[in-house]
Amino acid sequence: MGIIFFVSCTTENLLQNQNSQNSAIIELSKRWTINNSDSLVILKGVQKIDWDNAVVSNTDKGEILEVPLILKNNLKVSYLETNNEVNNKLLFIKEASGKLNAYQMMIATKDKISSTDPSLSFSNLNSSFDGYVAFVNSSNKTVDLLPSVHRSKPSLTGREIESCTYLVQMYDDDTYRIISLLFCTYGGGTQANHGGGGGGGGAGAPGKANPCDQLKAQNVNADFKAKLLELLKKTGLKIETGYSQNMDGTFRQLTNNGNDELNFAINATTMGFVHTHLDSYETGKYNSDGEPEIRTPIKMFSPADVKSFIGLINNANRNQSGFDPIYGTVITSSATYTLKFNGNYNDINQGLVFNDALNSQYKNDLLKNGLESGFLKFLNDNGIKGISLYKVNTDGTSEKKSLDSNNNIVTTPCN
Amino acid sequence: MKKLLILGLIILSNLSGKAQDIKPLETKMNYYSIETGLPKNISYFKDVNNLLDKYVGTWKGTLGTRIYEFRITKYTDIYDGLKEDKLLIRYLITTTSGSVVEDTRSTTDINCSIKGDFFQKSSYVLNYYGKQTECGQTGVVFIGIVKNSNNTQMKLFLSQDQVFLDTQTCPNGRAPQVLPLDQVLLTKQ
Repeated sequence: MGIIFFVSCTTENLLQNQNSQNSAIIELSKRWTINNSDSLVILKGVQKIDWDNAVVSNTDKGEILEVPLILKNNLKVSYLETNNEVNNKLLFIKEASGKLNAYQMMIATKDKISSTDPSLSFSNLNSSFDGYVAFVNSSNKTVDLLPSVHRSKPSLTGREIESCTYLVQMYDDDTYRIISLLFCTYGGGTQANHGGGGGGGGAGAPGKANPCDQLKAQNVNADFKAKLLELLKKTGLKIETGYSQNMDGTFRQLTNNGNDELNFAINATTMGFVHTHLDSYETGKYNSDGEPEIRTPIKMFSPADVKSFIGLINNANRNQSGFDPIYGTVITSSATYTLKFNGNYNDINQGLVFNDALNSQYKNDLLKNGLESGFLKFLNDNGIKGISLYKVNTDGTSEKKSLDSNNNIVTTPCN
Repeated sequence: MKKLLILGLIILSNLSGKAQDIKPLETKMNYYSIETGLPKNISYFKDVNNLLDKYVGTWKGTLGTRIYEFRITKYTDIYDGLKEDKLLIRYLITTTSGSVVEDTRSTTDINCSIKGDFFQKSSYVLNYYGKQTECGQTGVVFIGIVKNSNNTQMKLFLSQDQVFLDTQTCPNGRAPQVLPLDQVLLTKQ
């Protein structure tokens, strides 16, 4: 019993010393959080920073403080595979020099595990960890703090490691609205991020995420679905309508000044566009028999749409915001199509002039080969590489359209 | 044996002839809505009924402050193995005070900005891609002979395309059209 008491006393002294050290890093970290609340995007969605359950440890990287984050009601950090359980923490590392570095730490596991469970602590994560962990620094760049940890398990993360992670608001019907893009990841675990928006990847880096997964996520997104439904009702108008979407998920209505022009302004945070192509409409003029002169627009991306999409790719490259989130969608009464980019940036034919010859070629290709096949042939013949065409069905499923060696259309459903 | 060879050659020749199908130009519009594109055997949209001929020539007219002179020629285009008879329209547009708005009269066939496409009822429809195509100088031109004018009068107008304009490329928005957006009455010269 005495021995036990002795040990207990020693432990108590040690704990006192530790508590004193712990409170120092906790206070330092609290001050950092107060002064840098805008530094980490995840903090926008946090209801409570759970300082009461903060854990301090010492590692070869320095003194570590992990603080569980409790998100606001109905908010969650979402992978495409939403069955994953996600724990979010603030991670502070105090270097020997006294410098404090802050990170968002996200841990995804197949089964639900409390964020205070020791198995999820920074110092306990190792190569046997069956899940996925990501760190985002205060510049909103992803960093690899635990290179020894298996970042991708086929059973769990074969796909989501090549995808973007968002802060989303969930609705009762399991649809969701994107609040903020947190980060995108690439195969092999190297990642880049975007302050408050944007995707991963750098100059010349190919898009790596599976476009099918991204379309799947897009097509269950409540905001996007609402825009699709709205625009589907507007293909019978005499002017095109549409929206651009920012990296943070918000939409901006495109202006149509009544001169049959829809203006698309690209800025650093622009992620994509969705707009209509019209049904046949009367021009307001009449032929010699008194019958209305009819225009029959093409229910496919135009060369100008492709040019705008390339503008998005160039923009992403310029801002290092990544290619994966980029999209362009056209909505017609016959079909909805989406363009995605998953090629190499350096393969884009930047010298292409969208002049009269190119537009003539476009119309000839569509006449000769049909809508989908002609459009893909037009892309191929002009060296527009890496851009894929997807048809989005009314039930939310998508299918990739490509050409075989004989220029016949090949339809590959997104599973 | 020699007879058999000749017979074989005749059959092959006939088959080959049947494989190449010539369609009247006025049927072209029907093929735009085919999902799989043109039937592979169609090799030529030919103006077999000489419907284009009445448009050929020089036409003049005034609308507002602009004087229009259109020179229409007929030629046979070929794209990716498909031949097509079509009209080309070159033009001189001046203001009533004499300044030149645009003069395309010397452009080559291949660079001509208005090229024929298809017949739609009593009108002929041509594609237009102007100098500032990237900024919305695009559309289709409708032309139609005025009834009972003995082919001496024609109406023409541009229906501009609905365009998706990248404001980085076109910071001033859509380029002004030089072709008339209202129907201009033209007289054959």
